[in-house]
Amino acid sequence: MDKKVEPALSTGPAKLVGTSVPRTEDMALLTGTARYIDDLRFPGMLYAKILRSSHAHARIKVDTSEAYSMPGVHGVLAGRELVGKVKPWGDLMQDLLVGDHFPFAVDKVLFEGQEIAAVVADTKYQALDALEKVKVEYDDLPVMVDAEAALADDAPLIQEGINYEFGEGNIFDRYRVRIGDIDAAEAEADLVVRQRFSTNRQAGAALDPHGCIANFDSFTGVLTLYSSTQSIFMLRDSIADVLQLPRNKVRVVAPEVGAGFGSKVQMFPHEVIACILSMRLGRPVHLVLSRADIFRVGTARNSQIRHVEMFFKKTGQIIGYRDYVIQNSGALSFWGNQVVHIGTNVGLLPYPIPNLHIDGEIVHTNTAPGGALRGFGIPQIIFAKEQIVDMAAEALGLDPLDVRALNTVKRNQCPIRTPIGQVVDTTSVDECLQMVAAEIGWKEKRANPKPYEGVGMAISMKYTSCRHPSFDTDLSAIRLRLETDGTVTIFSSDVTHGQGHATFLGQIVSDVLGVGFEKIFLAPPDTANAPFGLGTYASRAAAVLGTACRTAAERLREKIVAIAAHVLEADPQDLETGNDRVYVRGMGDSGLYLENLATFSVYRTHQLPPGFEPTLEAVATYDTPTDREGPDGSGNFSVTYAGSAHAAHVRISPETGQIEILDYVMVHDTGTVINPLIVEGQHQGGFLMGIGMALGEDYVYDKMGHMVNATFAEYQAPQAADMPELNRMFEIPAPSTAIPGGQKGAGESGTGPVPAVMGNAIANAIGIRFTELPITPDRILLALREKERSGKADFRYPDDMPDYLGPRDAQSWPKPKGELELFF
Amino acid sequence: MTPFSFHRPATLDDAVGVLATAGPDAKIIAGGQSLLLALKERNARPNSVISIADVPGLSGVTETEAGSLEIGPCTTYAKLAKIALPGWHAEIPAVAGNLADRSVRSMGTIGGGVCEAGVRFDMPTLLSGLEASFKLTSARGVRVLNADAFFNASGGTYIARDEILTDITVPALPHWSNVAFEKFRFRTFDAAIATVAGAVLFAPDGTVERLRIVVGGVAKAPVVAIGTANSLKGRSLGAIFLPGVAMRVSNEVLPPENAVTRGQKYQSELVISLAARVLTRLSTGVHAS
Amino acid sequence: MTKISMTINGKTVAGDVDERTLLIEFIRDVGHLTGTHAGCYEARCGCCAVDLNGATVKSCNVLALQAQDATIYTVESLSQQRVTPVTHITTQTLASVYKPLDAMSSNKVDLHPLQAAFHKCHALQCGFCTPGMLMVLKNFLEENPNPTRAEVRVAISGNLCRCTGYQHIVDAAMEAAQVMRGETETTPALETA
Repeated sequence: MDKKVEPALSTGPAKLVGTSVPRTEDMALLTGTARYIDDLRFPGMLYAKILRSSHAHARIKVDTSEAYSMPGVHGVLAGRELVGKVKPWGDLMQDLLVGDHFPFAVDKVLFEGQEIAAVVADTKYQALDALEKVKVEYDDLPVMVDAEAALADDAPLIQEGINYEFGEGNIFDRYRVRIGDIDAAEAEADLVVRQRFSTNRQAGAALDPHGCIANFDSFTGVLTLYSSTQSIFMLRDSIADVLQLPRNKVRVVAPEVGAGFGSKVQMFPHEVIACILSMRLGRPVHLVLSRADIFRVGTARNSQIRHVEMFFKKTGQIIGYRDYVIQNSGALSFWGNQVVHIGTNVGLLPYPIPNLHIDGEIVHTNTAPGGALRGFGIPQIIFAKEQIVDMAAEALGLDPLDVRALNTVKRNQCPIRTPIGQVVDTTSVDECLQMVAAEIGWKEKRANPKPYEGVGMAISMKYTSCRHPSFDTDLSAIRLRLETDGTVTIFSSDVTHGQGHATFLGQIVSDVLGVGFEKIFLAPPDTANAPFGLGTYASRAAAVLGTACRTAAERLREKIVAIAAHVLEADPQDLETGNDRVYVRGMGDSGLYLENLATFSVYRTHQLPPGFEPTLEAVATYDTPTDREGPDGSGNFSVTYAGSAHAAHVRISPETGQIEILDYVMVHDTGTVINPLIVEGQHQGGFLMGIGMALGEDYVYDKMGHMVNATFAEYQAPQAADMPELNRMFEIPAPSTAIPGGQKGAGESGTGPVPAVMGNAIANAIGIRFTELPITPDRILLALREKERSGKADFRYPDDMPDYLGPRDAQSWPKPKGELELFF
Repeated sequence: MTPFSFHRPATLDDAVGVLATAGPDAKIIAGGQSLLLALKERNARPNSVISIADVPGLSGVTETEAGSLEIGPCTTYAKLAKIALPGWHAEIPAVAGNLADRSVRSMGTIGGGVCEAGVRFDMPTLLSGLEASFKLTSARGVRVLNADAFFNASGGTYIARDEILTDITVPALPHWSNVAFEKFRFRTFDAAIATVAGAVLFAPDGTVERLRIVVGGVAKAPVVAIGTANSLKGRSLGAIFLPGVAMRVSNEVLPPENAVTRGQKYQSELVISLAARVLTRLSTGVHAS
Repeated sequence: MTKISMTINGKTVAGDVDERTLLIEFIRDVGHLTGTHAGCYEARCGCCAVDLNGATVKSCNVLALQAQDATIYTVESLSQQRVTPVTHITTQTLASVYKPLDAMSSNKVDLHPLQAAFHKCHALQCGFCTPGMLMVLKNFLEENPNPTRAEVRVAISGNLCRCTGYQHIVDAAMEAAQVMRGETETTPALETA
């Protein structure tokens, strides 16, 4: 992947899969003709704006009466009038649908930014002017920003009147893993490393704002919702359910979507609000959120406090892992709780640890709702686990590289079923590890340390799609149509928003059908004509959607060949496809054009073989052969696993605490790569999310629960000048055997290791072990000064800072508030 | 934004007149890079916005006969950054070209930045450090304030509601032997976490005749480290342990007992590093390039 | 309400608008050019960068009134070709008879070197930040034709991208700079598009 592959000719005999075909998507995006949600205009369109809570926890009284009489206002909406009319919604947790979401707060606000009222007017300014006339009285309640505060016995209840299946108080879900015998592991261990880690909250901060336009036709009863979403069918079904509308009369269309990273997978209140306003007025309603709103309601990465204990033999062998996780999922439940389930399970890889004992408590706080974000829990556990590996290696006098090599799953062991139940079909993560060490100069740099410089590494594996966290499904679908001029249209409901679906699906279709790449078109995602699929998230597009696409293309090819065989009076076995035609093997210049065959299929149906059903369409779906979580926490959630090994060489400024990344190497196993340049871009983007999480991005709250950095001026999204060169990238493919084309997920495997790599590199550079994210220059400098004052050779931040209150040893180690009953 | 009327006076007299009649809720706009942010958040709710961007005589840099620089308040950072100036005056374009970002610098003006007096801005610290003076014009007449009288210690400036900043005067080259400015921020174009400006005039024997050190970011206005600076009078910078001086600067502008939060503790450490850099540059005479 | 007029991409655009109208709103709603994007309205993300009288500005942080009579260029000005290129006549038997490209009054794709380089280097994923990146880089490279990679990075640091990690954007800028200096030919980027 170091070298860029030149664009291949589109209709030559060479296959396109595996080449860096420039993207089909680019022209509209480069010239400004692409239409994102805020670019759409409809006749008679009105603009809506939402009044949001400025308090984090309070009882409220809302008076909207004055807003009605403001100029240009067509409607005002608040929560009370919707009670009993709109169905509350929420996450499907285990088998219980949690009804903790509503378009507006009614009596009580749970977090800053929660919806209180909406105004719809002729212009945006009129809507904002009128919002100022909505009166809200706040009666403040105690605010809980930290998960540990929300766990206190006397903590006030955040969600009132909601019943959770596996939680009580502010705990709304629990997680448990019981594999092997952890007590035996502890007894057998030569070394126990015990450390508390805490991770930060991070925004997807996709630059294209969350927003939608709802357009209700009062004559046909069809509600069309254009929304910047990653999943049109899950959104359609949620909207229809909440408003109790027939699902065939709710149509969701995704325009161009300017990225999501997981932050646009769910239905948001603003989408429901726009629909209600449009249905009331019979006019299109535009509702696009501001950046500050998106930070506060657009879902954030869940922060975790992990109390990890790892058990090692003298050789470095890992024999046990115990963890008590407290996860802050903010004020609402939605996918966020599953982050600990899926992230922990998959994040235990690539080590098949025999004894596991994990408890997790997923906690509500008066902060922004937690949701999906690139990495989905994996960077959090890797940050803890991969730093403990380094700590253990040091304690045992071993090289961390060797400890990793000893424990990791190896290519020649595959397929392997790990103790927790993951089925690793293939991997090269062991080889990635050795290569990353060689490329970063691991042995030499560690042997010749320079002041304030260090090297660090980490390895991780990432699921390639995943059983849906709330449902029991992992499917995608494709419909292909050979049009009557020999071009091909692809219909899919999995929204492309940067991943290049049109390009890589086109590569697959072109290869299978022998149709020119430039003749293939991906229809925009629209529930009215696309087959049902879950959406684009969880690194699933290339492997899951790609598999559906390959199957659909093979089915279509079979039909095409059948017509050709009939017309040419040839044996289908002797026919090949290529160069836009079907021909007898070895006679590539003859045969029938696809356009002729397609014409037969609809305009010359007497030419079809007897019994052939006219038209050339094919549909295929693919649902991965994966497990739901077992009661002991076991299960294989992913069809295959992408591997990554990263290493960094860093220098710390002792004057300012600034971190300079001198070199960064990424070695990946992404299986069979369809388009190397796109995959390279995915890894680089994954790294950006990882480095943002490691070094700067965070939701900073004051004691009153106000997010004080909800702006790009303060929120530390990485800028170009602060990023290292990302040209040291390598692939060691171990093609998946579970996925017919060999693909593995690319989207998130560049994110997982990054925070741990930085933690390990910084520890190597300055002897300070950071157990809290993000690792910012201020923390580094203060830790350096405190380390100098204390005279300690090894220093942990914040554990060794004077004001640290957390547990320091086995005696003060916290225990879960309650345990799940074992019911197996 | 709340509704406002927009005025585009053609001359300074007109501008002063419009401001006088528009009353206390009027706002002056030059490039608008700070004002627009406040307007959009509805934090500023002016009834009138008066643009002085096109008023003749308010932009550009001119050198007076006495050698001082007159900088028009409507000079954009981008234009300022491109002006070649001799000696320590070069520190001004160097700072102007390394703040905000490329696109913001094309609109943002030095006058706008000074009037906004953002705690984390670079220009207030630099201009205070080199003892610039500020000319204010109103229907009542003209007054000139030096930096210490211009910036309000509790935030903002002492510009009266009917006054417009019409000129920033930077002293002539002989006023200082050397000037240095240093700042630190996390990301390339973040506002600074701390800024330090220093200016020194050496006596003929090379000892310090006058020294001024100003620190920004740690209080609501730039803070002058008067005590530390005065204590170095008559000494030779080359013969002093400068990191020790830097620590005294930090202690003076942000006393340890006031550095309570993590951010403040960090600032106090950072000011030591930045002040040490400034002092080193002052002693070695290295100008910004 | 107030009357505002300016020249956008060579055409006079005038409208009677609320005084509060931002330059970006004027470009998008009065000029009907939606290639200029609003990602934050905080003058931070840079998606709204346009050229105003020869300098790049963040159009979300400028009043339309401030741009009265100004000359504006947006991303739509970079390539005059606004018709999707037809590289292949699909009805094979008629390929020698009809010339559909002529019917579209255009016979070649005319991308700016930056656009071509972005396409070739995969310097865009979701594409939302791309118009702002292009406008800033065009202005920067015209002023600074032979930059280092580090200088390119500083030039675009007022423009956020959450997808690419910036690497391919810097690659593309370096490649476009070479083309703009006349050292290499523009990439014939559209053969497969």
